[in-house]
Amino acid sequence: MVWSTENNSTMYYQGAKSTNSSTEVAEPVANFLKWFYHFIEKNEIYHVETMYEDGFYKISEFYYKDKPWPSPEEVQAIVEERDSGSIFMILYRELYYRHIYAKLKPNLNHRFESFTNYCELFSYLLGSDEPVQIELPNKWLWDIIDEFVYQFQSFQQFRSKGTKMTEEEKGMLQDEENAWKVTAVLNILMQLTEKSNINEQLKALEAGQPITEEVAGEFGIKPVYAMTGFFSLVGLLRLYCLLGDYHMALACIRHVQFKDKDMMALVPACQITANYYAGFAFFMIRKYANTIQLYQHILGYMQRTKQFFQNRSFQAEDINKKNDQMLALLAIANTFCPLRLDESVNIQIKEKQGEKVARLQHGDMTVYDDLFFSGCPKFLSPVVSDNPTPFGTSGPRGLQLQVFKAEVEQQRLIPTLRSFLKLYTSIPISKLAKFLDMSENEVRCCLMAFKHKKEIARGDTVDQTTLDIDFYVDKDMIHISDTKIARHYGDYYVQQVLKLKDSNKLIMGSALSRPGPQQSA
Amino acid sequence: QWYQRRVRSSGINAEYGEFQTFQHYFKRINLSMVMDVQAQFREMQEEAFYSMEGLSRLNPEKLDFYIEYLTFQVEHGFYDADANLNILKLYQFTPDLYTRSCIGNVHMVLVKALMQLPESDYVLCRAQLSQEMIDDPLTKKIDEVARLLETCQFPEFWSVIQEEKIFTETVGFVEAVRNFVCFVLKLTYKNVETEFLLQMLGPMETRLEDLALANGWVLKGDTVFVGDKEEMVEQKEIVEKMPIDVVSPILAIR
Repeated sequence: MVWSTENNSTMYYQGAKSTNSSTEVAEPVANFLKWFYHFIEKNEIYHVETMYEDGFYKISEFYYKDKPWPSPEEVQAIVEERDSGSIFMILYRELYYRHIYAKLKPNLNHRFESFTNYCELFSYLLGSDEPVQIELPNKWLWDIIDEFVYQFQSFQQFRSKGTKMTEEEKGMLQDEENAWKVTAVLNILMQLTEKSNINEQLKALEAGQPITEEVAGEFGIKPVYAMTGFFSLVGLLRLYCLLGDYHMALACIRHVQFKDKDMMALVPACQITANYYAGFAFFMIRKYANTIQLYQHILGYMQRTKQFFQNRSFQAEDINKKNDQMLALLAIANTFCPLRLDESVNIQIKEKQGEKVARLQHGDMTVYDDLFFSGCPKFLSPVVSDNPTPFGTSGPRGLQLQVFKAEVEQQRLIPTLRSFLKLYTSIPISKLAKFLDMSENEVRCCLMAFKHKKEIARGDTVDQTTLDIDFYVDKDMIHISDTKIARHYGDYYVQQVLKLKDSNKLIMGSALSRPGPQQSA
Repeated sequence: QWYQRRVRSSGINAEYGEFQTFQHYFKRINLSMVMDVQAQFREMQEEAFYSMEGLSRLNPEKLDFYIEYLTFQVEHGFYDADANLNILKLYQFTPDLYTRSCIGNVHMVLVKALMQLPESDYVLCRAQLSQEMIDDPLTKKIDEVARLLETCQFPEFWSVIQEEKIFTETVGFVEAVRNFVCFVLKLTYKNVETEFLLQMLGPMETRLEDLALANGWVLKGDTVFVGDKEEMVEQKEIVEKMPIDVVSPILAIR
């Protein structure tokens, strides 16, 4: 039995004329499900991957744009599966609920059932004595973890609606106390990382040693466990950032190297999420150079691979949103710690945040709030009180904003100082004090603060292509240096030469095929 | 009480006024008390480390141990960032544990974190506080002190901390801040006026000469030489480098 891509497309669109009743499952869908079941049972990972990435999305778009997929009971009958707890049913239910969350509004029952399903799925992976035999595509594993954290986030946001919930919903929440408890979510993610010994594996990779069964353990040597463990690390990173615990967040990714050829690069969505949250954690503890390094790298990557994301449903808009968020945070970070940015990133910032950046340079304080709000993730509180105010000053977002505002306040005088110092190679403190309208002592304190902030912002980065000025004080004289950047026209030159070559080729080609008036090169 | 136990166990009957032996044993006891503190800290550190593995760090029953550990750190000048942050985390996850009296613990954690400047421990702690904790007047005071330190307004700092006991009572606080001041001075200055330097360092018990020796400074009358800084301010010019693989497509064109 060969499953070819031509078969794919014809099968989906065949039954278009006969879907009148909403309870009947269309034939192509039933076929799809049967094949899906077959491949999962037979562990043919390549086909599973194609069906998951392409097939599921196409059918959703075509048949189930605004209604849920067939219920698990119906599907069980279609594929003739006797055991409702089999791995195929668990996986199908995962997709079913994910579709509901994405396209429709989940009600409280859905949330509870989805949580139970996740518990079943993870106990299937964690509970067995021997490693399970099933193999799943990496993308699916990442989507499972990502969706798991996302549904937890959604649940906390739902609970913080407070008085807007109906009495019935409140009653249900009280009955099902254990659903989506933060400790349960953390526990599952931590166990997944421990089972696969992922930290040991990453340490070995760092040291350049091969991964043997000794390092990874019986479970960790299987890709299903290793990759799930790795994705759980990123899931933990995300969850800790949402709870405001940057210490634990950065502890999680202590051994992860953010390079192109890493485990992360296997799933682009994972790479983007990990870079975003890691950069955000560094941003909140004021190590701006780290943030800038990470964001630059990932924004460049996203630019280059943009076309691959256009047709993927679950991710396309999410990725664009992350792009914008990173640009906002990058704009702030660059004001606090001017480093040289790549041209492409610079252009993006100018496009999307141009006027805001101009206002930042002029010391406009309100812009910081706007940019922070647009760039920050949706913070959560681990416990939801009875009268929550999610967007008020004491809600989770408000608390983190207060921390950020403290930093903004501390940096208030620095841009002005910087702009004055840029104009000189040496200037006595008394003169600078007159310009700034401050006392000499205040100026000295300000200079020290500038140095202190600069040192913190440098963080752990080694690369020193900084655009910032540097100075030292000799008694009452300030000596300043500046970095001049020679005009970089090399890249542009090469690009234009290649463009010219291409257009030449085009013209010559068309000249040969269609004799006629020629355009000048 | 501790010392009494020690005397009894060594079998010396101090009541009979054997003054010299008593003095000798007192000296020995002092020394072992100091060593004992180090060993005690290591023990607690290990216990904290193991009880924070994985999810068990969220176990609320251990909170009393962490608070005991924190008080020990404050009294004897040790520091364990992970355990202290975990106290704040437990308050965040189980708000029922947080009563009026607990604000004292929060303040201790914050002040200990401030001692770690220029590290970002204080920011990490601050991000975990609830609005109730932030609204407390002493927390606001500590926040203000943190701001003064971060913006390097040291003369004001030295006068403000006299207003609250917690700063002067935490062992090692003043010394830690002084270290930070020296660190920032080292970054900024080549030669600094002695008068200004003394203002920055606040009321000191050690002499300036000892401090200068410890930091490698040279006293020159009314200025102090902190360190050479010339290499910092050389004019840097970033010249473009074109790697061969970027240029080769052009070279191949005829």
